[in-house]
Amino acid sequence: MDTILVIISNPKESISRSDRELLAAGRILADQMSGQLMAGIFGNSVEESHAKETISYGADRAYVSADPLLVEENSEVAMQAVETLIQEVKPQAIIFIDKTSSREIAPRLAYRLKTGCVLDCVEMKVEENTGHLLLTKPIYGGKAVALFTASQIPVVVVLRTRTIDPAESDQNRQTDIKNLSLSLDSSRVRTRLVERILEQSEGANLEDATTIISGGRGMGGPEPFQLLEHLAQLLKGSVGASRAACDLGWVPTSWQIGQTGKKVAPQLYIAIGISGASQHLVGIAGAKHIIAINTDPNAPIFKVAELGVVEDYNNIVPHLIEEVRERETN
Amino acid sequence: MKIAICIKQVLDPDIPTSELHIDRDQKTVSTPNPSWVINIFDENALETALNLRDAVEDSELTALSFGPETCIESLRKALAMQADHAVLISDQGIESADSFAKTKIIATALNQLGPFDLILCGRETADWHGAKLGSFLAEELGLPCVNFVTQITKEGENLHLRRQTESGWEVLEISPPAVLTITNDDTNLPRIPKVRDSMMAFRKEIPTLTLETLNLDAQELKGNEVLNMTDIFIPESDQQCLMVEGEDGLEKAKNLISKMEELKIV
Repeated sequence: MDTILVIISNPKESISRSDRELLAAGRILADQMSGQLMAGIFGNSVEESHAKETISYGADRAYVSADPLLVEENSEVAMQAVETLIQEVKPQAIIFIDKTSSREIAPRLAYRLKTGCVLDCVEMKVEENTGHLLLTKPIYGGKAVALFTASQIPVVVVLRTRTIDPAESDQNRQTDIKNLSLSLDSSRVRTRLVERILEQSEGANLEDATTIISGGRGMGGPEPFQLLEHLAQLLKGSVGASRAACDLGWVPTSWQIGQTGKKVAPQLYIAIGISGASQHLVGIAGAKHIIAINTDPNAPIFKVAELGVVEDYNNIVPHLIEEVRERETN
Repeated sequence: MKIAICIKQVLDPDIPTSELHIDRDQKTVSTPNPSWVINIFDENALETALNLRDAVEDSELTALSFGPETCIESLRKALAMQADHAVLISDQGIESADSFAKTKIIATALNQLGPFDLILCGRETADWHGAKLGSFLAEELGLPCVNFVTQITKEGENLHLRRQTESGWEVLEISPPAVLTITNDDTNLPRIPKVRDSMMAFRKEIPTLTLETLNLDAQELKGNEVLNMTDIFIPESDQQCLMVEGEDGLEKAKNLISKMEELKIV
């Protein structure tokens, strides 16, 4: 039977939203192939609860491997675990969800196995006639898309976040958990973690935020972002930024939204002083309502926005803050 | 330290969609007024590499590019930014090399020109968003690869790398040699070359390595297609933006909020 293998690495207390997106996507593919969805869960502290959750979110079987060497920064050690599992499961495709470790493991794995690798994949489906896996990825900063099929298996895929709704839990699914025994080569550890900092945007984590106020080059400097933080606070949202604002050091790089920043899917996204370069639009493809404020009436952002205002942020944002505050107090 | 950086010349990805032409049958991408630039992340990588080269005594930076003759322009810019050496890898026999062949070719060149303590690449290309070369090279050369690095400092025999993660950043220690892929932050905005340096760059020699110089056989390198591109197109978009008007900022703000309430956005 055809198998799809998804990899869940270094889970925290519970399976993350991104991992649930991965499982949802994997389940759909497995069903299209009338096949099975296997999940490999690796990390330095993996519990039975992770495996049970993974099954409830759609996996037919969970392979578990916990080892002190399987920490996030040791991608070459993780590769050993993944290779062992591939030999066991023999999947058509192995899919990772987009994160740093996935981006280190996936291409090396594909090179080692001499199979194809598609990173930043936004859609996967099984072609009806041929049964081939069809992989879609955006190119040219999101202006165009390219579709690929693989001629060797397993094809290695890294799925972009926020392209699919996360799987819902179904406690009635049959639990099938296997411990995968590994003999890891510690000489493959070539990186040592010196320091790790977890950064959060003000308020909620950007990727989970339902409202985001975002600023770009049009903000002119770091101080005006305080206005955006104020507005975000009133709307119970978070603040993001375009690559330009981050590159200029006005705001932390962790606020960057775009092709090479965070992918967000808020109900409301207000882009202020952001021109709307394609790579930025990639980051907000999942936004429900986009509102743009820019001094340039020809800014590309207006092509994807639902509502737009041609105005300088300084002339409108303070008034928006007042309007919102008035409505809150009423 | 001997540092190498692989740069790719790409069609300027910031061109408007209206100027991007896709031939769906031929599966090619073109534009009426092509503007070729160094891939932006490779420029960030150049900046990071130059900073490291300047910080560590007895260091030199070699920029390599694989592609047609026109890539010389990008290499000249790298020299103008003050890279020490530039080398072009070009051969008509392998112009449209697949990614595995490309990796083998570049790795061979690196071995011939090296050994290098560090090999840098941009995190991905701004045209195809491949994001594989660094990892492929590391695998071919048997080296570690750390992605999304923004800053490198030498700590004794080791290197400390500041790199971005999906949840923040971290500092990792590795001992060279290694491959690193570089992403952008406020410390590696690429410098604009001085006019004088741009002119000097024109006088520098940029040797070209061919398959023959690298002792590689074109036939052996072919036939590794593991991915087939079955389609390429620009998706249709029919979004209409409603422009909110007003006499001044205050009125626009009021109108905007009213419209948002009307559309049940807030």
